Amino acid sequence: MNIENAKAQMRKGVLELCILNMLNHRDAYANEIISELKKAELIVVEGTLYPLLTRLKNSGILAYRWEESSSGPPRKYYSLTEIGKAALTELLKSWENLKAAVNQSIQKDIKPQS
Amino acid sequence: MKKTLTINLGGFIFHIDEDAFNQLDLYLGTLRNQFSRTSGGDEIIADVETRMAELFRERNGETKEVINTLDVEAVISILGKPEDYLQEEDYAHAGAHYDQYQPYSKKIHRDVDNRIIGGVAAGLAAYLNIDSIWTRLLFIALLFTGFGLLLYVILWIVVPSARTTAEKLQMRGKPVTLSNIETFVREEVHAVGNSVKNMGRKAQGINRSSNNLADLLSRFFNGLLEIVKLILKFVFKAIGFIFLIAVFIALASLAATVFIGFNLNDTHYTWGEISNLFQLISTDSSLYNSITLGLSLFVLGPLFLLVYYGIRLVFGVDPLNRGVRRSLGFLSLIGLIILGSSVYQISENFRSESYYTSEQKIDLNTRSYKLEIVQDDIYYSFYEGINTDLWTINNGKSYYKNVQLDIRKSDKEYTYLESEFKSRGLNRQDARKNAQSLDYIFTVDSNTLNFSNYYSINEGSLYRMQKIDHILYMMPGDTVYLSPGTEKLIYNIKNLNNYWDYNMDGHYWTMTQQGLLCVDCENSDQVRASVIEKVEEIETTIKENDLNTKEVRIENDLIIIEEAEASLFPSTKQYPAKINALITSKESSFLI
Repeated sequence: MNIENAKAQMRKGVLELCILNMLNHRDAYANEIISELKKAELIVVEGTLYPLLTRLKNSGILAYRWEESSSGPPRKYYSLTEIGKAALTELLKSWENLKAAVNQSIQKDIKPQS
Repeated sequence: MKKTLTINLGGFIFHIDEDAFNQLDLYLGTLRNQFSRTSGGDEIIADVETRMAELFRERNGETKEVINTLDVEAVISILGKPEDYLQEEDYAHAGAHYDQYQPYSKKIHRDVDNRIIGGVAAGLAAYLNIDSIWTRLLFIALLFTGFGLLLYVILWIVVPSARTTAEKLQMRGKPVTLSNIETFVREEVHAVGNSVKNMGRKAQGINRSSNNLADLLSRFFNGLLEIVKLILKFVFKAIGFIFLIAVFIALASLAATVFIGFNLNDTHYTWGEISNLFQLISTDSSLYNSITLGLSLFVLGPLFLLVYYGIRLVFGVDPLNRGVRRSLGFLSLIGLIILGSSVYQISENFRSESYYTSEQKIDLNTRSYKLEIVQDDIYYSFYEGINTDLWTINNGKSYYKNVQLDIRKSDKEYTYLESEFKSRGLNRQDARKNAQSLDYIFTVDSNTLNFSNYYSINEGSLYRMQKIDHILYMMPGDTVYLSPGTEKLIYNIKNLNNYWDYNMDGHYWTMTQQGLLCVDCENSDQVRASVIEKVEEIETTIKENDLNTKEVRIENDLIIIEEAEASLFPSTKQYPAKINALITSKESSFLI
């Protein structure tokens, strides 16, 4: 088993959830999203994010607006749409289920040993 | 010392050295290619470029002037390699609920999950986004034309099976609707537009800091080449499609010929009848089979290639590998050899010619009789169309219209029919045997002679260009009525009236010492008078010169006097009597 690959897959699985959750609190531009995700060690390289954001925008989950920036060209600020909010609720629910299921499964395996 | 270029990245101006520029250009070019088929691909690139600009600024601040390869490498390591972008793509495709944003790029695959035989029909159905029942029905329908099986096998060979998730999704693609076709065309045009833009950008970049004309030109032509490639790709697809349709129509009509038959000279022939003829021509069934085999092998390769390249142009499957191409060529060659040797063997069977003649005395109570042509179903089947045919089929049997009749003056003491049967064959003996195997009609009623203008070949014999020449030898004084229709039988009969064959039927003809004379034709009296005049002239000439004549006759207005060998008894000359035999009146039908 390729451990790095498995870890990457795990991170990818929750990546969208984290992005949507972040944007639910406040609108952000790509750079901010990236630094947040990097802090959480959810992404390794930034390139991964751009296709994802574009796709989420295309499917109507995200929307963006242009805002003037003091230090450079205008920035793309992403925000969650109504569809996005619904999707987030769905994903959070599924995350909770998954978390519970995974925890339960792991604890079952551990218990007999202790 | 290095050259520098000035670039605009995400709205910022950067100076970049040549090596770094090439590296950056390659990176962005790869990304652009990668996302060229993804909707919103341009946006992704724009976002990446903006981010790069930020990263370069963060890295170099205001102090450093020129971006070098180290900077580019560092930024790329933050953003990730082009493949890293793609991993995200794959992951997105794996989830079922992301189906709505799959790329429009679609490639035909065999759907092995839903297959019945090879998954060709299911794959095609997925490609066209229709239910597989329709494609299956189509293949079943095509099977009846004989083309279906070939098409299926070819598709089975050339279309790859969908194994990975990506391939399975690619197989489905988008439905073929008008709006999607429009989208496709727009994307293609867009891609061409981008190429032009890229080229312009490149040219501009070079122009600013480099005066290397050769470099500029090479870049310009590379860009031009890319545009041409895109246009060609589009054109090839269109050509391939037309090509496939054309091949399909050709094959369908071929199949129709085989199963329904075709029209030749306005006569309808079925394949069974054609193959019947082939069988008659060939020497035996094994030769017939080898012709069929040779022809099939010879045609198979080119046919396969035609269909394959049609499919290739439309669906973009891989080129045919060399081995397959060679074996196809080899098969065609073998087919040609078999065909050639069969044709040679057949031609051998037409090499020698031989004939035999039969003579039949015609004993009638009357000296005036009728000549009729047998007008049965077979006779009419020769004249169904506008043109007449040399060969026809009636109730599964072949008939050939190669029978002729001539009328001449009898050189014996009675009227008789001489028939000459000609044929070709492997050798003279074989040819003679073939000549004897003919079945034709010649019957004599009380006062009528019936002829068929066709013959058939007896069981066990084959068509070897057989020919029947009848010659009716009439006694001078006999009169024959050529019934209407006999013009189809008579050939080049010499007559004193100089009538063509097609004018001769429907008239009464009397055999005279001078030749055949029409009794009831328009020019009968004139001809008779001129013949008498000529004969008298001849008589005097003969008398004056004391000629020993054997025969005097008139042919095409020429007087022919054949001299006999010098006789011991000149007083017994026969010529005056012969000349007197000329008919002098319509009523007296004969005089000797």
